[in-house]
Amino acid sequence: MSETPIPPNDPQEDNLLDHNYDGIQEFDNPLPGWWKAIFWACILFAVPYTWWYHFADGNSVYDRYEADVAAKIAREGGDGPVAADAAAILAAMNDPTRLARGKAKYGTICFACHAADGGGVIGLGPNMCDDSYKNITKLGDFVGVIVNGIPGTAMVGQTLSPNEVVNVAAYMASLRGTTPANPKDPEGEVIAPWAAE
Amino acid sequence: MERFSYNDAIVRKFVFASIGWGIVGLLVGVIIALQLADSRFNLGLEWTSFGRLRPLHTNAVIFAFAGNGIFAAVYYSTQRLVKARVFSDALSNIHFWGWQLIILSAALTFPFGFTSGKEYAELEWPIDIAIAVIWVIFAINFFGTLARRRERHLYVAIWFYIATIIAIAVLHIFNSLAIPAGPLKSYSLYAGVEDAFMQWWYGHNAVAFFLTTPFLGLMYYFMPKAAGRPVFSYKLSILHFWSLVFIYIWAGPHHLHYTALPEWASTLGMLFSVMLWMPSWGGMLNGLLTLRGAWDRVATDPILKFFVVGITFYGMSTFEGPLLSVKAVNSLSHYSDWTIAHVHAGTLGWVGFMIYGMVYWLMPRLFQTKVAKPAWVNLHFWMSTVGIVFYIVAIYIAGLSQGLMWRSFTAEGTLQYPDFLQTVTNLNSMYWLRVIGGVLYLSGAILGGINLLLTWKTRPATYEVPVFEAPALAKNFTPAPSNGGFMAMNWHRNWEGKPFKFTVWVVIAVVSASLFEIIPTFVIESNVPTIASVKPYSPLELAGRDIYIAEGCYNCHSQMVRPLHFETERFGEYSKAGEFVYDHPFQWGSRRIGPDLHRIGVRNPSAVWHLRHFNNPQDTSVGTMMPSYQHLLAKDLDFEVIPRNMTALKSIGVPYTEEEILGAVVAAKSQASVVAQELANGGQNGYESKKVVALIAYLQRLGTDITNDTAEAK
Repeated sequence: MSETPIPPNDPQEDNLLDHNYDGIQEFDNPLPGWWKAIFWACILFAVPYTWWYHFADGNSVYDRYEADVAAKIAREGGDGPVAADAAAILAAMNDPTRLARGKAKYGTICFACHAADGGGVIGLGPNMCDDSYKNITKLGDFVGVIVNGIPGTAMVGQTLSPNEVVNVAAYMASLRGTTPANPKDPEGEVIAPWAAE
Repeated sequence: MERFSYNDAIVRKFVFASIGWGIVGLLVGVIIALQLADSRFNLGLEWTSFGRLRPLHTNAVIFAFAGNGIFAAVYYSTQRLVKARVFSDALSNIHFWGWQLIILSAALTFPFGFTSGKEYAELEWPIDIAIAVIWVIFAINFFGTLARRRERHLYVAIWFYIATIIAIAVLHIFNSLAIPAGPLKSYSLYAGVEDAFMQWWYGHNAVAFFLTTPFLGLMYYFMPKAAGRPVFSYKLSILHFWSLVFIYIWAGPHHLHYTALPEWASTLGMLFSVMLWMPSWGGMLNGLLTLRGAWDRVATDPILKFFVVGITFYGMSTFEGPLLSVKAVNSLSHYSDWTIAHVHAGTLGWVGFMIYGMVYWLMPRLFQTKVAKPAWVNLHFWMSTVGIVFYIVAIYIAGLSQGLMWRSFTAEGTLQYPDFLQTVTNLNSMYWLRVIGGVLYLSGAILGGINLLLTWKTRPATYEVPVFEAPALAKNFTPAPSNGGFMAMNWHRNWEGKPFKFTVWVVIAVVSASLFEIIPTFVIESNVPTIASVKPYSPLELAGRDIYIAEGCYNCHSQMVRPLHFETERFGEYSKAGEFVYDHPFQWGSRRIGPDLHRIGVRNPSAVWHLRHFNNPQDTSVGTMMPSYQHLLAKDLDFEVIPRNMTALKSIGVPYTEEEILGAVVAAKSQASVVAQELANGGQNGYESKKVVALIAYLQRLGTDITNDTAEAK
């Protein structure tokens, strides 16, 4: 391992500083131009960015979030017009878009106790695929169970918009008659087929 | 002329420690990688679960592998760069053995659940104090050596060592401030947003001043020595050193984008990270361009290969860092494996390769013999390089795919992958590829360790201690004339002759940049709008939170729902700063291997569900990698420590009343009976006195305060 700091006749030899630390020498090369240019650009970037993010409208994280949520509510037909009732649920059961929305919401919350395919979980939620129900006798009952929960059980009320309640209720009602992988034994009473009230 | 020799015995000790602990840290890394690929590798034991071992891995590789490597580099190069023997051989040995005891204490506390719950700063308070003491001893030894120097000017490597010693002392002390509640239990002095800020000010700058600046110092000594070439540019050294030291400190908040951290802090973190790109690349340029005229040797010299690839990884990581700090990019990368790939490119590539390059260069010099197995050095290089490629490619793919799955919406405007678990099980094949990469890298490290031992065995009976001669420094220092303007850098040349002045400027750079962010974070009240309905945890919930911390749940679960539509669809209302005011320490987490838990009390407060999940996670979540926590169902909760812990929290501002503390045990038992009743209703009996009840109570409480009452922002 040679400790010779510099080969003879190096074109840069003139550039060499008289520094010598344990044999280590240093060149006095200038800063590369592109290095300086990018460094300045990165510093100056702060000015337009700060203006854009903090002083122009609509670009902050919270502005964008609110816009996204507003777009979602608009896409789902507004928050107000849909009343969460049996008629709305029945209509949604025939609307593939609403069923898909209900399924997605079910997949983030309800699946934990009722299983992803609605077959129920022993010790937790009942099977939603058979004809027996513990707390539901008619379609409209879904609304109260979803919004208020069942005191004393794992079923707690969910904070959902009326649209979301209808979607989830419609999806859960539509599970009836499907065949889950591991169905839990029926609980509660056999009830009449879904109907308008 | 004065005659002196160098203390290389201390360097030999630190080299052995670095290589030895490196193998241990990497081995634990492979084990936890296996646990993510298949949860059976948690072994069903409470002491070997991922949540407890992951801090052992990170602390071992950072503080033991990298730490001992740094000390070896500092002790070897500083003595030679300043032509003076280390200040005190005794202090050197105290430093060495003290540091090894600290590492040992980490290995003896983490598996047993003793942790402060702050990432990369998990060690409990007595060990934190020991770290501070040993660090000060290191500082005395280092600055004492500078004081006895026979070389007027300080070389750039020394500047980086100075920055390391100063900054790590400041970061460690101020982030670790905590109120002890018991012999191995403490609560962070800070809460919520402020704690998160301090933690990532520390966490980010631990990367800066433990994994970057000392390794740049190492590079500036060992790279020109190995290459036999002068350093490319002295001016670049000066500019990139000062810009790096000053700018790095600001960048911490980029770890907290989209969280409840105030937006101004987030923006500052991003902008300074972008500015940091070129200062970092200054180091890479000075490293790589030093090889001009020696590139032909890179192909044949494995030491230069280690250095070149290491520096290249440094360049890659320091480009990626600013990229990830851009808010829009961060919204995709944060909480995903992208971050994990990023840090492993930096640590395995940069930190690891610089240490191995240095150790192989030192081996014949320290042991005064030939390297026992020269061919193995090359083999080690290739095994490690291929190992890193396997690791990072797999984990980049895992990170990107999981990040994209989280945010993916269907045409109907619903989440494409509403079941979080699906986004995790999808990564399994990548996790196995990571294991392969990790095993390769570990095998290389073991090969290096054996080579070190074999070389050591052929050492001479007694080491030759060369004696050097140099004149003492003249009493009067005549500074060079400060002509030629700023860019001639003569002013800096004068600073280099004055270590005290130089160090003061480093302190000013580090502390002033810190205070610019810390002071506003703590004094501007609007940063954390008060939410009237947020109340301190009940005694039982507090006990449950302590279990959550001890088990290291934060290693896989975040508690921070970001204000992003795809997050609120999945996890519920986004998290507000005011919700965390009693969280000592904060538990926002940094990675989602499991789902976010901040709103778990709203989404799934079912005691029965949680009990079944802790007992056997597969019962409720088929395919999950979460290990079983049966010990929580089997072991009794220690109710008696609750008042003690509440008293500690009261002393740092949590408004518990004396009556609440006096009645804590009774209140906790009464809440436990409520949870137990809920469990009994679901057919699960006999858990009233068990740990699991406290943890369930905590989970049921999480994220519910703002919905319990109308949130009022003051």
